[in-house]
Amino acid sequence: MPEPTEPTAAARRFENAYFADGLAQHRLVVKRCTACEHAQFPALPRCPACGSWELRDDEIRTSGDVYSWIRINREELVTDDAADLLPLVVVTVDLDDGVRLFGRYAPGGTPAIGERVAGTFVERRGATDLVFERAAR
Amino acid sequence: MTRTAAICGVGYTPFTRDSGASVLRLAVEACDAAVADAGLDPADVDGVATFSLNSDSTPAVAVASSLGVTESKVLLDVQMGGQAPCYLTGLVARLIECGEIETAVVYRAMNGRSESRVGGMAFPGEGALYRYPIGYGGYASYVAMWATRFLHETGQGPDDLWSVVERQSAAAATNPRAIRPGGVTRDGYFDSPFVVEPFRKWDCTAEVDGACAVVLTTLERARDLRWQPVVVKASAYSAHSQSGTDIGDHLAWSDYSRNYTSWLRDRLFGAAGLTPADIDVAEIYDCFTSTVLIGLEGLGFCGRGESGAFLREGGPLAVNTHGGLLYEGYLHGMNTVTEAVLQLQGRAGANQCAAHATAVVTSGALMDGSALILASE
Ligand SMILES: [Zn+2]
Repeated sequence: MPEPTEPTAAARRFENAYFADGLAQHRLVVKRCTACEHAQFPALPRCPACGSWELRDDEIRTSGDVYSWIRINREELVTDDAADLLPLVVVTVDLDDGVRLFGRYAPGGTPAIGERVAGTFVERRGATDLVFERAAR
Repeated sequence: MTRTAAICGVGYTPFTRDSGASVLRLAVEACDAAVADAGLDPADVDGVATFSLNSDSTPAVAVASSLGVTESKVLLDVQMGGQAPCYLTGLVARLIECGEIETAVVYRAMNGRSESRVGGMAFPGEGALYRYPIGYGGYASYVAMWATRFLHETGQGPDDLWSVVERQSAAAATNPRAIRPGGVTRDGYFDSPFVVEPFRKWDCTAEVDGACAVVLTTLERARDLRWQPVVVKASAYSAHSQSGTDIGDHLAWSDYSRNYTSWLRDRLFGAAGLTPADIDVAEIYDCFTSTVLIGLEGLGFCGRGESGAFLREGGPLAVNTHGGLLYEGYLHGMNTVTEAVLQLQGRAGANQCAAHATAVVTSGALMDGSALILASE
């Protein structure tokens, strides 16, 4: 599938730049509201919970529980530079620090809903991916 | 005097894998067919509405010009996918009721197979950089992510997805418009590999080239036209809290086991003064099998976790009578609306339901979407 180059590049420049910048430094960073502590991905220009414009970068833990997962087997369903990852398991993880995030799951594994996971930072083609694997409860 | 809006005609091009025609040509063919089907003339049309995803279609103004519309009072182009057909039809009905326009065409046209395949489309937006860098692409993947959670939470599984395939592929076998031959067997289903687990190819819609359209006018005028008027009894759209920042952004949506149907249900049925038990026909948006199950439960046609069994029991409710988008072809749900109209007018051919006074139609799969309640007069 084609890359959404321009809009992604634009998003990366402004409110969401912190995310990829954090991954590059092997830190998982979220924008957290200084007024009410609400956080979510993607970062919005202001806090949707209380309306505050004061958001701070907050490094959070990569640990959490699997909320859902899929296994992608077909090339046309992944971005061009991920074809070599097939079959690709993607997990939706409810992180311990209160936000939900998508991530790759350790190659060859099959996750389960409710499974305890933790992420590690993996370099791939000039960027950093968060890859989740099973963790002790 | 209060005005009521009614659908008075439908039009289709053939659904193909390679139309060999421009999207504008397809759009005009379908709109012209719909106007003629109603027994109207393009000069009667004063409104045109359509939707597109990542510029995959042709704008309403081009269709109005090609049709020979004398004066357009409303042209609507919305950037939406399958959430739009019921939404636009409902909006146009309200515009007719309040007297802004008299007669309007709502269409969807696309070379969805030979040119812009949504299955391989990346959606730009704020959510993009949380998905594509890890390879999480493709709309099928997002609906699959919801399906895994939905099936888990409701205690359902592959047999329940199969129940959708069984019913709808059987309907497609007797629908001459269907792009897929239908008649998928249980072994044929379970022997086919996963495209994106938990979906096999039979759980996924078939992209097509083509167009279809509906024409709406006042009920008063529709009574003098060719077919029995189909009254737009109620319409509703919902994008509940934290519906995301683009069509694929479901990061902040809290519950993947419930989509917009759960949120608009009370408004929809309340506005029509009806309950699910009053409905004869349900045309549920089905880019993938799981959305039929989520929709039946969300709208209250059955209890939570009961949708697969509900389909297997084969009660009085007719569901996705044309084989759905899954088997007729993926015109992003516009053909879900037209099928409901054909059913209510009693002209659905071999797939005509015995009881066809009322229908619910839905548009959309995930966070946001729309629905209609239609009734024959
Ligand atoms: Zn706040």
